[in-house]
Amino acid sequence: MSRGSSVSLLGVYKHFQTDAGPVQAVNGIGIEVAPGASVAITGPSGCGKSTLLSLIGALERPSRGRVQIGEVAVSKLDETDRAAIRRELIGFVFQSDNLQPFLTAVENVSLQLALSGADDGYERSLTLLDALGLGGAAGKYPDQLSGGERQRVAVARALVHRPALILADEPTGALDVDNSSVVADLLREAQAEVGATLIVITHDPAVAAGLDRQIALSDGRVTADSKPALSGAVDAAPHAGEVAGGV
Amino acid sequence: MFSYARRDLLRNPRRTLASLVGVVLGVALFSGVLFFIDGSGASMTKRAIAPVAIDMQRVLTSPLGEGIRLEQRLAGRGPLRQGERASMQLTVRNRGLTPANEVVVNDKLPPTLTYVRGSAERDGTPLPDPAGQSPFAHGPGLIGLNIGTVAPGATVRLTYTVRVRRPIPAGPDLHLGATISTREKIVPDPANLPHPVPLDRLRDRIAALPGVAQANQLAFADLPPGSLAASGSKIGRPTKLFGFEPAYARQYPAIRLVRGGFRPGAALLSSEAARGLGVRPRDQVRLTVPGARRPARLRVSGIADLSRARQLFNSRTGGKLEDFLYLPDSIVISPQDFQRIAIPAFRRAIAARGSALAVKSPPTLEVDVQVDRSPLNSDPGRALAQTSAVAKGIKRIAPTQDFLLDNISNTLTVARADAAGAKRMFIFLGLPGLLLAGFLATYAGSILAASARREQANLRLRGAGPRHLNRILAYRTLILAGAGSLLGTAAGFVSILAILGASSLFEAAPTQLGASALIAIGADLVATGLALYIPGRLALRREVSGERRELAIGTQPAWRRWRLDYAALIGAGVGAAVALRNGAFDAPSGAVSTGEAISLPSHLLLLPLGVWFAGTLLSVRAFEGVARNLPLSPPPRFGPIVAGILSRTLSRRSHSLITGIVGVGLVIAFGIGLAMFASTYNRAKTADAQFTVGSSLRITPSPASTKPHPAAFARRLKVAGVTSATPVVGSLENAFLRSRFNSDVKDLAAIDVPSFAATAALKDDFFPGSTASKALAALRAHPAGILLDVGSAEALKLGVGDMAELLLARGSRRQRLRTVTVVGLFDRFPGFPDGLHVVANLGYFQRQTGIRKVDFFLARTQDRSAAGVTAAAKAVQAGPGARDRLSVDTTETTFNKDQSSLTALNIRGLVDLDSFYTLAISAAVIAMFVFGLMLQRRREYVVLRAQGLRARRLHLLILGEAAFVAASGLLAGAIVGAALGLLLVHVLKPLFILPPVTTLPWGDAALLAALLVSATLFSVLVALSVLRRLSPSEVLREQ
Repeated sequence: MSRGSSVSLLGVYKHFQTDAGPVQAVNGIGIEVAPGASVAITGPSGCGKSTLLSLIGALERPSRGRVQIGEVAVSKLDETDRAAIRRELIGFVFQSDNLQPFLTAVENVSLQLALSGADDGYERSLTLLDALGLGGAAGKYPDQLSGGERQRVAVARALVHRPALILADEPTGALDVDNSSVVADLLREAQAEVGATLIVITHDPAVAAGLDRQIALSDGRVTADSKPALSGAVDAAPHAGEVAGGV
Repeated sequence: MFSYARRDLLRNPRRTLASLVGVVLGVALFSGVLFFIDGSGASMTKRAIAPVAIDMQRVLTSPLGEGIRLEQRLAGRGPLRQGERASMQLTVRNRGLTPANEVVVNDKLPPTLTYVRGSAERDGTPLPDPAGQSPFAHGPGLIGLNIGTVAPGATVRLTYTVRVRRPIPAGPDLHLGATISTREKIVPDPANLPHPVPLDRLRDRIAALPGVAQANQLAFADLPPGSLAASGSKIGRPTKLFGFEPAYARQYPAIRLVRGGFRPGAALLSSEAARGLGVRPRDQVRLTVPGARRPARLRVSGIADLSRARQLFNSRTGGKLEDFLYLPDSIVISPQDFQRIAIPAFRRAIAARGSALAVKSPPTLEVDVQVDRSPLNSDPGRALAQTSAVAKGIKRIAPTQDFLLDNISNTLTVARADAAGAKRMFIFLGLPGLLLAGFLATYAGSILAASARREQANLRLRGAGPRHLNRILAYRTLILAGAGSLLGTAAGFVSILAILGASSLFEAAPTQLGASALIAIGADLVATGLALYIPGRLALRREVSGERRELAIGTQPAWRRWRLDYAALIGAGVGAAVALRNGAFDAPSGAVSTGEAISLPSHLLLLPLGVWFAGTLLSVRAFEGVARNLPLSPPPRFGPIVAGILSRTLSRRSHSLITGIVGVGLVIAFGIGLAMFASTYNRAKTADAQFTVGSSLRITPSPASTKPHPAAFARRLKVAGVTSATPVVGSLENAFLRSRFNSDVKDLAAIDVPSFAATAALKDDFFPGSTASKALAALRAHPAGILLDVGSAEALKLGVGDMAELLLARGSRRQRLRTVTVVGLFDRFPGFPDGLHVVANLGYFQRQTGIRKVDFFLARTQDRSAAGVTAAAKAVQAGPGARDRLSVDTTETTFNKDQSSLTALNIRGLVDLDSFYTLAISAAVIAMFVFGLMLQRRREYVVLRAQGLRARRLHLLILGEAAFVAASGLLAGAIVGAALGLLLVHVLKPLFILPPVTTLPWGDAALLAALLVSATLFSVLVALSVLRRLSPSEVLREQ
């Protein structure tokens, strides 16, 4: 049975204030992702993909609109509750591994469990690393690992607490072809195994093609969706009363 | 390239500000010290010469007229050909009143002349040639001819023939060098001395010299007991006779007219003499001078208090010029009367006794010179050149008949040396500012290295080569160091303006201030330029890809790799040991009278500097060791989130904390060391002042006072603010002590033990092998006991328990010889900075002598601060002093009388400056550390946030790391600062009379700690606010 969460974005806007003036990073996006689905978000640089992922991942709150993971409207939560959502429901994989440099591979992974209050995650982390072919690297620091190994540790960190939603921001962007393939396969397999919903931002058509659904963005708007659901209705204009607190 | 560097700095204001703030603060500290030196040095001339009683004294060597003199001439003096002969004529005349004995005439010929054998004659009688040589220069020592005794008025003619060895032209080129000496005047006089100029003409010629404000005649003579009398009464003590003009009295306010006036032809009496004789103005007194046929009758025109007139009573004997030898019974007449009454009488006395040596104290005649002080340069060195020029002019007038005591130049010589010592000391105290500026510049550079390197990588991609990058770096360094130096120097100037005030600062010449500004800007440009450029240059060599590894793991700083901390500390330790072994810390103290300054071993100031730097690095190494060995939760546990992450980051990235801890440690060590030094310095100054005064106040009844001042008067001195008061009998040479082996004249003090113990500034150190309370208890328990100073005990071979004979009230009609027991020893006694030999019980002294009067009183104030002491002094003057003549000396007035010694410096201003910048720099260091953390670790923090770490815990993480750095730096700084302060105090030991007691400045340390904690908290709060505003999506995608 799938334990993945549905993801729902309703008329979501995000703008930033910069020295050069306001920038509209996300411009009225509406997306519905079914639980356990895998979605690729593509688009040119600066089209708002990463911002969209931050909004879905409850790292940021939209300027307007509603972001919902499962039954929880995360866009309405304060930082403390969003932090709880992130550590309980979400697993992040970034383009750079973003491992903590002062922690060993296994500590990087078990930290995620420790954040959730489970202080016995060492064995689980070791097992997972072992399963990912990193058994020998568990005690090594990130700078002692290769780029591919580091990214696999990052994947392990994103999966170890069995999240309902895995968010990956160009996870293969910094890797060579071989490692890209390994990491992409890993994400898909892991998603399949834990039944999580997977949303991947990628420039790599091969990675995108391997997922259930592909959404293309441009200028903060959805320009193409291989399986559109609510997009058309919500892209046009946000519903009144669905405005979340701004930043 | 320049415009790129300029735009880069302008468009990144925060980065530019971070680079500039440390430089500006460090430079401000250094330049502030330089300006402080200018400002305080400028007041040193004024301060140094303020207590000088008489600027210059021209003292006649033959006050009673000429004695024996020698005239020499070469007969027929004209051009002389080689081989020609000429007659040398030497004429000895005794114009004195007594025979001249053992008269020796010496004449060493110049190389152009030779003695013709057998040619010497005395009054036409041939003289034998000793061993074929001239009788006027014979033997290995070329000794002269002893012509025996020459009677008063007699003349002896000596001649001999010389042969010319080389042609001599006519004129004064031939230097004739005969001399004459006698048993009475051992130092030989040259022949053909000019005739002495009379004192009044000498005074007139000196007064006309440029740079001389006033020149006055002063004559004085010591007269035996009984010399001064009035109808029915006589002064039974030695009396001093002075001769000076009324203008002299007007010039020196210490000569205070109490009643009447001072008119030529009449006499002015000291208050004590007037009281002793029971006379008033208009009464008549009789003055008997040794050798006088009859007493001179003089009408009294006034009564004066001379008890503080250092001009009159300071010793004229070399080596004792600062000794105040007061004689209470004095009479003053005009110089004309002195010439009329005293000089002929003394001449007669000498004639009658047959030798000038028979008169124990012949009169002294001198011209006292007051230099025009207004044009004296504020710098003691330049002022010295001015006064030396005046002295040179004075010496040129009628040379050889007298000698010049140049007190003002001696004082300025000391002040010049003190100013130089102060400059060295202050520069040492400012040098850390320069080093800190360099350190902060490097630190800021290392923090900003990441962003700088990214930009450099971009430039490289756009085709910039190493030369371009180096030029950009050079321009950036130049702009930053230049702007930092200028701003810092301006800040330093403003700080000193605020601390010293415009009047003090602008005492310094504008050129001097300008030179200091240039030195500050130049030195700072070099120091901060190098500190910015060298690390930047090294960073350029590294690959951009190295950045990640450096941020993660980092390399150990160079000083760690090369163990510079150990090396420097060992160097400082060896240096200190060598200095201690060679006694370099025990430099001798100086004497203003001989122009010798305190020899401050300022080269030893390098030791504290070494200890400061090396000690901080070493203690940081220790703290890093502690961090590396922090206990971690062993697998399989991660441990509590915050503790688990914090312990791992501190333990595994301890090197990233080093620079922060070093920075905080250096600043705190400097601040605490300086505060410790300053508080010890001030306490030592106060202790010295209390020792000199005897307590907080010293109340001396004026001799002009008509009221009685028995011991019980001490009770009346307990006014508001005074907790206790005690009577003291004490004066010079008022006792005589005899043991089985030796005897000597001594200075004795008689004290009331209980009240003295409660009042005086006693210290246990004064009593070797005992304590103050034990020594005084022993004295109290033995009424006929005495405390003896260690020197006298050694000279008289007396120890505790030994008995000796003591003559009390020596020289008075009440003197009594008593047997006493030595009950204790001391090496110093409060209230007697020039030394004291015997301390007796006041009750015993009064019972034995019947003398009820005491010499002065000491009083202790409740509040020992400057304000408290001054207020109590005012209360004494307003209370018992309102209808009485009381002189009140305080610890504060003692500071003011302090000559140009370094202890008189206003070190408080310097400490204020250093403290302010210490606080500012420590705050800057911790802020830079926190923002450095933010810059380098923001991605780590954002990832932790993405992983679900609560914001509060993230705050605790940042705060924990900053707190570790602040606490470690504070602790390291406190330890090293204490060592630094101790060394500084040790180096400055020679400045004080009493050994300084190291004082720990808890208040200052607490303030520093509180500020550091506040700065840490504030920085963390600001950093967190920045962190909250960061866009996670942007940060996480950063490469």
